Amino acid sequence: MNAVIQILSGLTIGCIYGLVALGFSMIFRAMGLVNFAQGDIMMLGGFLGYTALSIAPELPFVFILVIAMIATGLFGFVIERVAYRPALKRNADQIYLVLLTLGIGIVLANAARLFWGANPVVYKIPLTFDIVHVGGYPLPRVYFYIVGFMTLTIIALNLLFTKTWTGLALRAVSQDPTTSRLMGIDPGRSSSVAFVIASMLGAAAGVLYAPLFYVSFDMGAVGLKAFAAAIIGSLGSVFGAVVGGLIVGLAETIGGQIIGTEFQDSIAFAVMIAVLLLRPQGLFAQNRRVA
Amino acid sequence: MSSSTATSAAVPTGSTSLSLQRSRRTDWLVFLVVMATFALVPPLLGGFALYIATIVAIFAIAALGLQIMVGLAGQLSLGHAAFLGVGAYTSVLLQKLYGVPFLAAVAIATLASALVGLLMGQLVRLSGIYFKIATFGFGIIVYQLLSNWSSVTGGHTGLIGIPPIRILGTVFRDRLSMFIIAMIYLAVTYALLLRLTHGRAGRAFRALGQNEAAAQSIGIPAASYKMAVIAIGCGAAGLAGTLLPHVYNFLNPEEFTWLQSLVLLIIITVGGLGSLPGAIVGAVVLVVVPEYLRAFQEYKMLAYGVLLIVSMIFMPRGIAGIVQGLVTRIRGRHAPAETPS
Amino acid sequence: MLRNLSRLGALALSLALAGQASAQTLKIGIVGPLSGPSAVYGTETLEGARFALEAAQASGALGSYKIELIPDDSAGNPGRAAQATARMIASDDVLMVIGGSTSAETQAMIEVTRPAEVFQFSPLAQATNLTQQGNKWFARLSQTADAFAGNAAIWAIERHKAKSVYMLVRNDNYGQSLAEAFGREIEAKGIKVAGRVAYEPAAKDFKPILSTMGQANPDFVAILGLYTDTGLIVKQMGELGIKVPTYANTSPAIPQFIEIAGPASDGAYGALYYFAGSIDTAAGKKFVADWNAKFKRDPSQYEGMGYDTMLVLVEAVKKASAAGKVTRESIRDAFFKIADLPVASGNVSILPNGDVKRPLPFVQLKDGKLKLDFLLDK
Repeated sequence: MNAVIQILSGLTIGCIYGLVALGFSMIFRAMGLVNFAQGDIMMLGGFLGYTALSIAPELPFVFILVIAMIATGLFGFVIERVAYRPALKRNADQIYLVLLTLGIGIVLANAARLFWGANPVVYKIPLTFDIVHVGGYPLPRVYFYIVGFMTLTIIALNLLFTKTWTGLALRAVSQDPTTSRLMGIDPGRSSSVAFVIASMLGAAAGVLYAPLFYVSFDMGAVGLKAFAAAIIGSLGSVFGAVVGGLIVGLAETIGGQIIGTEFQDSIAFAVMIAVLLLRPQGLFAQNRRVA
Repeated sequence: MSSSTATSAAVPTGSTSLSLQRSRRTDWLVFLVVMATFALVPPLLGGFALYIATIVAIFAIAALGLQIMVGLAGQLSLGHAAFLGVGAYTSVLLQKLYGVPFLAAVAIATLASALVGLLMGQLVRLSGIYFKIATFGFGIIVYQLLSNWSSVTGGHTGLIGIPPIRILGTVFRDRLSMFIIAMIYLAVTYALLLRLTHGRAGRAFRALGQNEAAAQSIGIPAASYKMAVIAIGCGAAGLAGTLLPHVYNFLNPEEFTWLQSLVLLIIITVGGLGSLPGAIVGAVVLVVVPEYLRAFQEYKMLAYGVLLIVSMIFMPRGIAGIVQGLVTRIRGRHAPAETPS
Repeated sequence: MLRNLSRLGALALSLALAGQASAQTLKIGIVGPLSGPSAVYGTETLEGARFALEAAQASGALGSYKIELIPDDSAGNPGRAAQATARMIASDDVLMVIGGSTSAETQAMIEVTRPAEVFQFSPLAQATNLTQQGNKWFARLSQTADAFAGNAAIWAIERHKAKSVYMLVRNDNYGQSLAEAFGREIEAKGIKVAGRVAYEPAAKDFKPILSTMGQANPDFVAILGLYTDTGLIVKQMGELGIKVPTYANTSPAIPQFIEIAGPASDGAYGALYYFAGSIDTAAGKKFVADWNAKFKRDPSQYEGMGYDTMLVLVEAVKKASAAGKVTRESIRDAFFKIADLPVASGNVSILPNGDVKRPLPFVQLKDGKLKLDFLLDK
């Protein structure tokens, strides 16, 4: 009972990390930008879902998920246009860009605090407390939503990257921005697309996270651990982000039991540093430049 | 990356052209003005101004180190508050547990912070993005160690009963002497770092910050300079940290969180990336201004974030850049022949 | 030399300020978290204090004096709290300071108020050692962690016949000092501590800890933490099907606890600083009635503590002015003379070491409503 429950809860949290990590990876791939606001995008998604629920309490959870994703996606589109693209255009230094994303993260978190309050909010829907028994193990029903969504996301992203022109363009830009521009690919469009997808994935992570725990303005910190996940699995790799998320989730639950739960927050980064020592570009590095 | 101290980057190695000499003279002039203002204004205001100026000085010292590391050499550290913590705890524990004299404890603690910085640098011999995220993780790990290693650090409870500063048998406890000690710390750090940026190391750091690969290709041993600048940045933070517990009279891990690391970054950004006086001005702005906006405390972090974004978009060279622009314009009116370097 | 000079300066400054200030206005600083994750403690305490102050000013209870509250935000950060306090003492020349809310920030403030010889009164801070430093300039309205959790342990054993207790402890100053007292009393009574686990304040997923706890099969669970973590723990206990009587510290009175824990919160026990309706005295009833008249709801425990802090302060001002002039020293002496003062949370006495004697209500959550389980009043 003990071990199975621990592994399952670790893997579920790992899926959440994985979703946020995917967002980091998408943006890094398309723009070479490390977006420190991604965790706060997740928070925003969680709160927008909450607002959607308070307006329409009867709406099924899946609709809430979609609404929050669309709203946050739009928001991501605006941020990319207003804040990042101008900075990228004037070829700003990496440091400026990182600081800019940090600034946007602080503003998002604190604006959310003023708007939704400092106290955590809970989705008041049955799903928050629903339990399903599978093989004698009591599991929250939302686990299945999380795993299901993760699977769909992986399939959809694979299709996107292999079967659509947009996806091919995204890959081309990430591998060689100069040549792809010569080939007629608009890098601006690629970065918009990447940002919107990343924001939608972040929002999904926030909405799926809410029934497990709660939504609060300071939960961007969860997103920062997803950073470690993205790096463990090599930045830019879709598969790597997902596996990295699962590794961090498992390491936190199991490692917490071994070295003491009070060090849980350190584990993600300790694993990351250890992995980087062994493989300087993460577990699933392809041959590519690293900014 | 182009403010009063950074402009000389364009000048080739070894050259001591007229404009370089002039820019050095300007740097020292600015040093004198900043330090004189700092030394005179708080004592005239007295009372609380002395106390808050001491805290400003502490943040300014840490920010100066971070400025060299981030603004000059381009090694972004997202966990810098951790090194303040290493300095503070090392110094206090040495004094408290082993009775090490204050000055010796400060020296050891500064060295220890630099060494921990080096350890971090070695552990994550990484470039670019990996280094940034590793420094963030390192900050979290240090914070958790300080919070949970209760038998030594007092854990989340922190430490009280900080021994007073004692130098050569004299005890310094009151606000004025704390302020004077902090001023000496600041003046020494500022002067040393200024000298450093004028020398060969400074040029190497700047080259590193502009383009690591290019720096390597023109024969700068990038790896060793990188380690050196990390040690300097972390050592300065450690030095600043040694004063903090004596001002507050307690030590608590909450002073060394991710939030404080962010505040340090905002300080150097608002002041002007790459500018040493900018780091000090930034510390003044971020420590003093919130004190006088007491009614709006709730909006403080929001304002910090907006400030960061605005300075990134509208004044990428910070306050220092604006001041320099003004000075150049005024000078230009008087001496139009002079060409900016 | 330096010291004397600055003393002289400070003296001159305070004389100048004293001359300026109106003789009738007493400035009182109040420091607590008004923003950040622990904002509820600071904002609600302040609200309660303001409510009491309005009533006192209107009723003329303060005589010829007027109280001006100067609030500042600590954001829960000790350094910030110390800075705010230093400013109030040096620049605002306050008579005394109320605060802080968390124990860490209260300790930080003590390091400022004690050397400045300004009296500090904390409405909420519980760490036991705060009143064990031989400090004549500090007192508090809250029971110590020792008294609070120690009594909770005795209550669990005597009233709920606990035989095997599992402790889940928030790994910070607050949780650990509660746990120390709780564990000590449990062991002193010869009851088994089935397990004791510290968890990180930011922890969200307690399943691994709880499934281990399930195997130890305790008959009583004590969670010593804040509502954000106690709420998730109780929720996840429900998910794992662990049904054991649970003591959730002060959380059951906090609406967010019930929201977070959901149906599993039903039946949870807690001990409160103050519980509206538990005090049958005239002062106790008057507060609940007045509050309801203005806010159309019962006051929370922190609002109650803020209210009582102000009532105690008003009484101290009366005592000090009756004895002569109201100064930093005389107000302190007056606080230590408070004995059996009827306030909203029962009858309050300030003990010589700065601790308090007053009732401690134990409650249980039943069908979304709190009911009094036991009122410890001795």
